[in-house]
Amino acid sequence: MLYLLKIKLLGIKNHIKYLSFSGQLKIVFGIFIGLLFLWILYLIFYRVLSYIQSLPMIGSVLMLKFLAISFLTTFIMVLFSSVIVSFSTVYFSRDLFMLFSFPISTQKLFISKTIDVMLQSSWMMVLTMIPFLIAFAQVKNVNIDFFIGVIFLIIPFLFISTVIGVIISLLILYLFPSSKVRDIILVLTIIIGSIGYVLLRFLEPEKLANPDVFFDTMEYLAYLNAPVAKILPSWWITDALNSILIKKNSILLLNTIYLVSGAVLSVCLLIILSKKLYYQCWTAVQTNSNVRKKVSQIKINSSMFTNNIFYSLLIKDIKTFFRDTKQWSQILLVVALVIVYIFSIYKLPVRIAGNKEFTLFYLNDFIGFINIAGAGFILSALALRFAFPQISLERGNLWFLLFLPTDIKIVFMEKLCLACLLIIPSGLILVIITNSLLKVSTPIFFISTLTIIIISIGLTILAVGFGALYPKFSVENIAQIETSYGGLLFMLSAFVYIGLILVIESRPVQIFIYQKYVGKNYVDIVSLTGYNIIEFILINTIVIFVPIWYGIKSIRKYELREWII
Amino acid sequence: MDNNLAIKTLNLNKQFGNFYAVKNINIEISFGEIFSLLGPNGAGKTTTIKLLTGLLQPTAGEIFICGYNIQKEPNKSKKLIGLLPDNAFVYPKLTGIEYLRFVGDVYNVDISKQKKRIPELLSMFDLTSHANELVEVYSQGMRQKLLIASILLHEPKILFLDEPFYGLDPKMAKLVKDIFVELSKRGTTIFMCTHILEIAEKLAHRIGIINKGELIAVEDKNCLREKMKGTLEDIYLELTGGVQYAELIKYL
Repeated sequence: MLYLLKIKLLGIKNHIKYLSFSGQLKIVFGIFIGLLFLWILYLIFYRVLSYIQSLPMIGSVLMLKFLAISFLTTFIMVLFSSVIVSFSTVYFSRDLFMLFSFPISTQKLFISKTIDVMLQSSWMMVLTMIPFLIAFAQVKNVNIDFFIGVIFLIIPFLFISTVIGVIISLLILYLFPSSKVRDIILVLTIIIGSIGYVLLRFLEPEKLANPDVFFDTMEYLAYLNAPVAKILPSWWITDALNSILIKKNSILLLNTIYLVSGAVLSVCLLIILSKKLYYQCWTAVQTNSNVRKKVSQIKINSSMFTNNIFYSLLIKDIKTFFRDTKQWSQILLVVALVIVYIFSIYKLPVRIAGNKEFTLFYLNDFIGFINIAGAGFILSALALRFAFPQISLERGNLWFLLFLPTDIKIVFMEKLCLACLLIIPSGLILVIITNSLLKVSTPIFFISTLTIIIISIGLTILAVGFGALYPKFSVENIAQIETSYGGLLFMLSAFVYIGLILVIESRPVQIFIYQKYVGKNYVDIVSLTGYNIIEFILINTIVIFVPIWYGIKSIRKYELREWII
Repeated sequence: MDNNLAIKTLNLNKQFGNFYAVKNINIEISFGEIFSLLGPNGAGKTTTIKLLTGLLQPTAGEIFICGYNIQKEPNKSKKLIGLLPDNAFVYPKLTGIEYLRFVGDVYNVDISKQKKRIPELLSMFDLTSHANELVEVYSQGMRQKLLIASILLHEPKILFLDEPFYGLDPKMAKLVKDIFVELSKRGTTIFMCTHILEIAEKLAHRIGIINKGELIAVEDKNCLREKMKGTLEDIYLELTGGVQYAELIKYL
């Protein structure tokens, strides 16, 4: 049953075995960066959890609540991700034609593919959980039993959430084999998910750490003691781990039984459903049932494309972008992320100054400046999703693009322009709305808006440049491009870039806020700003021109050994 | 440089690490000639096409397309050629007609000419009724027909074809063969890689046989048959060492 996993492991082994020295160096560097990131996450979690534990009376209860919320988030994320990943892995994977021709039972194939989905959809969440759980264990001062419990219990926990996701996708495909209806259902599912995410944020879960918002102490304690979604496996694993801490073996046993029996039940359900539906669904999706319009006469619209390679490529990419429903779902998730971000920024001044009418007058300007970093991180995520994969997604058509009777830099610039069309307006919307909500002063409004426009351009160029330098052609879904080595390097560079911009701008902004506070100009701000402008121009010149130069050079050097990579 | 030649290579070499994919290839192909390159899997046929169309940089040697050096003047050369890869991918989210318009535009084909020629090509390849459907719903054969239509749109002087009959039904294969013969009569050069020896024997004026990256025979098909005695299949197997496989069949 694990033969598919074995093939994957062999592929990874062979990939590493035949790596060049520079390739091995890249992997070592990637692991180092990954570990560094996890260590930073650990430090943040440790600090937060130490503070929570130190809260008198409610510390331990609140810790349990956070553990439950983190497992609930993992459960939902893995479930959501497995719905999306299962489409490309379980039903549209390129190896299925070959696998279905082998004498393998449908059930075995379906379960193997489900395990593959589990690994793909959960590895990132599991990695993020590691620093959280280590910090939790350190704060709670637990022994090795806790980690043994985590290792044994997390497998059935992840398996149950994956199976639910796979079953949802199976039912969608069974009920809606027509690709158009299926796409609509998928988009509706994502809309509901996005609305749920936005609503969850609007509930302001951070209020948990602030008892003032509750009417009385008893109500607050009752709320904290209540289990988080008791019927879900996320609570079973939380309760089981907590029982290790409080040494109550009966609760541990009960929750372990829940988890294991849930996983066994999932396998049984998978076997039944795969017997009845999997092959039927797989064959149904192969035969597209869209209604075909018969055409008797061809009409060619003069404005369909233009006699210019750049614009023709751009129009082609815009058309294909909007016709691909996978992109719609991503846009919806981005919209949800932006709404949540705007809401968080809007609430920030009140949260810092307390739940009062009074907020410090310089606080809004300060947050308006910090907003550059927040918006920059959102834009980095957008650039990673929409700009970085641009070149990799052309894998099948690369022969055509390289064969075009034009300089390849036109293709690179067109990809850049396409990504800018999405990222610059997003940056502008983010900064204008947040600054308006914060009611920042005019100079800060002007500086942050201008900075975000330039950062948007810089991040887009960085993303397309890194995407050309580190293309990932042999993938089945976009997530694999984003989480590649190049994607990691891009995110790292993006963070350094945003950090440098903030450092450069911090001094003049600090002087401006202080002068506003004192009420008079005691320092010549222009002389200081002049120096910072030079640094700002220098950094952005590097970020704008170096990735373009390297990106184009990299595409020119592509060795197209196969027609379809 | 001899401008009367459609394709000319001088000591063409391509190495991938220590492996020679193409070794010292020298060919001269005239306008209006149909040249068929034969060889076993991995012999270097597709690599040769990629080198000739500028998709790969040679390790050594020179390539001239209609007199232009493809490394030095790639855009001028590429405007004069059409390429049909083996089992190629076409933008799935464009309709058939949009794909042809897109190809017409990137090759700078005049809009009025496109308006006339696209319906003709769609009709010729029996694609008119599917012109407004997305390419993703096309069958393999329909996609191949669309690709052939697209490379004929800008009326190239040289056609590079890698397994051009892949996925075509017998009726359409006959039509495509007739089109190539007619184009050749009008002066278009056709450079074709195929595994179907009958097609090469029937269509090509000259045949080249490549094995392990080296061009081991280039002859007029009639001369080749007279020299080597036997059918094209016998000659091919003798030159590429395929006869030994007959011995292995007994182990089945």
